[in-house]
Amino acid sequence: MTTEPLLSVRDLTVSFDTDDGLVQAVNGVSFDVHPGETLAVVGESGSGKSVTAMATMRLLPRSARISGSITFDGRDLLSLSDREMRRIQGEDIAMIFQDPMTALNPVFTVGNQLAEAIRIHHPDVSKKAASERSIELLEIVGIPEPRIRVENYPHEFSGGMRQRAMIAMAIANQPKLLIADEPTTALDVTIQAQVIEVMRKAQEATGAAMILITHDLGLVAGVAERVQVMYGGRLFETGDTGTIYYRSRNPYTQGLMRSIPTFAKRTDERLSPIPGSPPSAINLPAGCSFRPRCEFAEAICRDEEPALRPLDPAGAHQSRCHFAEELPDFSQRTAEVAG
Amino acid sequence: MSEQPRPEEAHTGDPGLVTAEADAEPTTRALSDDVIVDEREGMTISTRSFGRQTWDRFRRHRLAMFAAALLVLLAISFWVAPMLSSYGFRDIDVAAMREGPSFRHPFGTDQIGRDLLVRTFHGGRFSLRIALVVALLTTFIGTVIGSLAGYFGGIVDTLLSQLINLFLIVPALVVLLVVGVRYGASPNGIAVILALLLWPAIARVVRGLFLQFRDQEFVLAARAAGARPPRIIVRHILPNTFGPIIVNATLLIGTAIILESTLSFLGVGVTPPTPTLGNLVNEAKGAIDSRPSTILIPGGFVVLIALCVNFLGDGLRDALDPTTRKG
Amino acid sequence: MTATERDTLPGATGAPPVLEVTDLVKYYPIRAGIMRKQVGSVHAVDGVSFALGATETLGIVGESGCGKTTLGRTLLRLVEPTSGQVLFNGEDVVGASSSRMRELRQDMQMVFQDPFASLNPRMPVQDIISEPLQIHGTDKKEARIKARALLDAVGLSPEHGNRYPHEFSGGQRQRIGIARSLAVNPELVVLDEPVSALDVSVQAQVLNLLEDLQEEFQLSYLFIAHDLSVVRHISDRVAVMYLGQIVELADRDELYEAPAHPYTHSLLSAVPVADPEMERSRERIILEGDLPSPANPPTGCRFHTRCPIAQDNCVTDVPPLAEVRPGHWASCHYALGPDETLVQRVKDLGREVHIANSDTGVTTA
Repeated sequence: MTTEPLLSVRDLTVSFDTDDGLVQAVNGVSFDVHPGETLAVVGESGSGKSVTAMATMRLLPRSARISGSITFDGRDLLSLSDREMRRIQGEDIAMIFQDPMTALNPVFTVGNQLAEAIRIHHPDVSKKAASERSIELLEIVGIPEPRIRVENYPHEFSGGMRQRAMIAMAIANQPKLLIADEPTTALDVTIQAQVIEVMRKAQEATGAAMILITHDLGLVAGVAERVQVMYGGRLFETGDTGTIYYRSRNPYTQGLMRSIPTFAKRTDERLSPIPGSPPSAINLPAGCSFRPRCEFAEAICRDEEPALRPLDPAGAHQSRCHFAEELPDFSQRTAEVAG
Repeated sequence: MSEQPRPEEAHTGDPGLVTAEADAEPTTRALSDDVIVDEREGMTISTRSFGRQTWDRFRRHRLAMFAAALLVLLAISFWVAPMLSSYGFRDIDVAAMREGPSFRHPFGTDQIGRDLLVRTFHGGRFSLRIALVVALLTTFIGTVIGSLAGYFGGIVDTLLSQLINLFLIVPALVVLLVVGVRYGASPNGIAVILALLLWPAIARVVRGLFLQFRDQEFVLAARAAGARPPRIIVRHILPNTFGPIIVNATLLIGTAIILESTLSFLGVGVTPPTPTLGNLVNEAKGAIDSRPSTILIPGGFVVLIALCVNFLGDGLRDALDPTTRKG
Repeated sequence: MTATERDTLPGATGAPPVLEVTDLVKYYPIRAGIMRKQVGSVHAVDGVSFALGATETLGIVGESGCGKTTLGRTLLRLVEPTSGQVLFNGEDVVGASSSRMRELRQDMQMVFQDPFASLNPRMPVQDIISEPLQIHGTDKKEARIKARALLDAVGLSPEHGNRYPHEFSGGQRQRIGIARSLAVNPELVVLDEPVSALDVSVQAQVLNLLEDLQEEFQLSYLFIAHDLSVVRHISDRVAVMYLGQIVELADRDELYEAPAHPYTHSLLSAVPVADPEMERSRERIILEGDLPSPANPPTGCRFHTRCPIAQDNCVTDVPPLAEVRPGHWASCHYALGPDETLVQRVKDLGREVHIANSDTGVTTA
């Protein structure tokens, strides 16, 4: 990419001191997000994908030990004061959470909260203008009768509508970066489809870049331009969406793709699961953290942790595996189209 | 990751949690003598026995350990120390009235020349006994009524909750005053009356916990297996309520000791000359200016016991919960 | 619903059915005020009929609030049905006495969704697994031996029977829950979202295990889930529920490839597929509006408020669950033909439907 990255994360490491010992949640993660693009961060529980996002928003508890650098629009977020950071939160970077109920305040109307979100960052905007803008925002996210709905409290909204309202709040100040943490996980399939469309529209309306954090490989396939796969706090593979799905060069990514049943193909054959479970961040295996579950593991995988290596000259496709080049080809291509 | 050498898979005693697809390669590695990491399953497992783990969890709780040791020490001295003394708690020494601390009477003597050390330790004995009886009785009554109300719900709950509320609104002190004035009281009598007044606190907690647990999937699973209500209550829900019950019971021990002292202070508690810590404070109230030690010593024991019991309860709650992680 | 004769139950095949459900209803009362007066009811399950053959897997899919979990629990009488009939091997379950019901529970078992909440945290797993046996009279020693064998059968090490649930990973806990359900040698197992709480890489392990156990122990499964991909993988036949009712029931591949009900059609169209090219090239129908509340379901066809091809009579007339093709049941006045797509039907009607396509953005046909 030739454009200057909007967000540049370098060697981000996050650990927590707990009763059980030091938890290495994120370990040496580096990546860029360019203006307007959608980057998906994919991983299972404990992969560190959410902690990475929370670190970017500076939303981690004080007990978190963070090192590395997060540069957003030329400023190092980790060295900003809380006050300076608050100016960026919600204005330049906005977050869409999994559970809208926790993000909306139950005792204020949706319109109140939208207007408040605008006026916090733009105190010069009049109340009337802010309230007009709230209605406009609700319209963008497809809430019917926004003039009436703006007076409602969050509990009067359905789950899908609350998620829309939260998206409206996220885009209220035309942020440059949206971070969506499992935005559709709590929703039903038909509502999910609506919300994905709303996010797409919201992104279009604002030109914002988006980091989409999810475990849903189907969702990623439809919306992301680039994908990075995390496992045990490390980046395991990163590349264009097509590259990851059709030309993955990482045993974990391949295993993940193989283990999902997909209704678009007849699947009478057995699934091919990855044995075992994702690692605990307290006692990560020595060497490659995927080694205990990997069918290709050899002695070197225990002795030496593989580096995230570029597999093409531009470095667009990178994989963390000693045997990235030798792995069998794999493609997540469904045989036929349903419906 | 660090380059530090890691302990290798020397422990072969534990075969690991082998999944159906697992091959021959061992997936576990020993972290220390009794902790094993299953790398394939991403789990840390302790090889210590359940009892040992419970003890380890308790031991980690420094304050609780200290409180337990102190309580044991207090109890022993309450029982043993008076035996070593040549004075009984009723023995009057007219030659030594209102004496300050001395070698012969380390805590001094009261207005009729009784040795205060002996009386304080005897008082501690009776106070502790009352507190223990109260704790056991309230826990028993509260748990039975609370669990029935919470598990069965409906009309059972409505009736029992009314009963609980009825007891809660009874002004405890007034009842105790009336009963105490009318009948006087023995230590056991006071304990029973206190228990009758304090059980609703436990019952409410237990009822709430049962309401919360009764629709949990593991309870449904027990029902799906054909378990009858008594089994579900005793084997499934009750063990999950031990923590809060113990904490509340220990809080009640503190309350009971303090209430007993209050009653005695008001002159309607355990009938003198039987000493309790409260009686002693009551008897010394006239000397608050001249000899504050006669109040501070028994009063200090009341506070000390109540504090220790609370810390002990904290430690027990954590130790009895297998999901509390070991350090 | 008029399907009262056995041979007309949706899903019935030539094989003798293990489970026959007729007109099952479960209403939960809504109470309000100090007097707790009933002011309405949630129609969680509202007239469900189907049959499940021996060693068969019937998948039940639907969105939240469609009543699929209540259905599973009502069948085992963990929740008492309001009305309707459930026959297990021809025996009436709803009318069974509580002692007979306890015996029946040996043959009808359940696996729960949450591998954390469904195991008693204060019990070692060998006790969790052997408890159903002990309840039904097996002595403790023998029950423990059986528990070890079951641990082995679900792919766990029998040595770990004395460990507590929190010492296991999510996938292993679900294996323990499965072992518990198999302890009493059931014929029927109701699986309520058994893999939805698990990590993607672990789900497949559990699905494979369920398939193996079905073959080994000759089990019949009622597999309840919201994940259409998982259901397609494991089921022989699939029923789609919407607001307490089955709206379509058919053979697995038939249902996924030629759905007759517009709801099934839009549901399938809404599921994202983990294949970027296909996902971006296909057109997905976006249903308007939210799921209506089961406390106040729409009149007539319950789907009419969101249906792109609804007609006037859909608002008033309840469509029966009828056999639209051999073995394929759907409750729609205007069921789609085998080669017909919903988009095409909408166009034929000269209407508009919200269609999304990733590459071209949102369009409207």
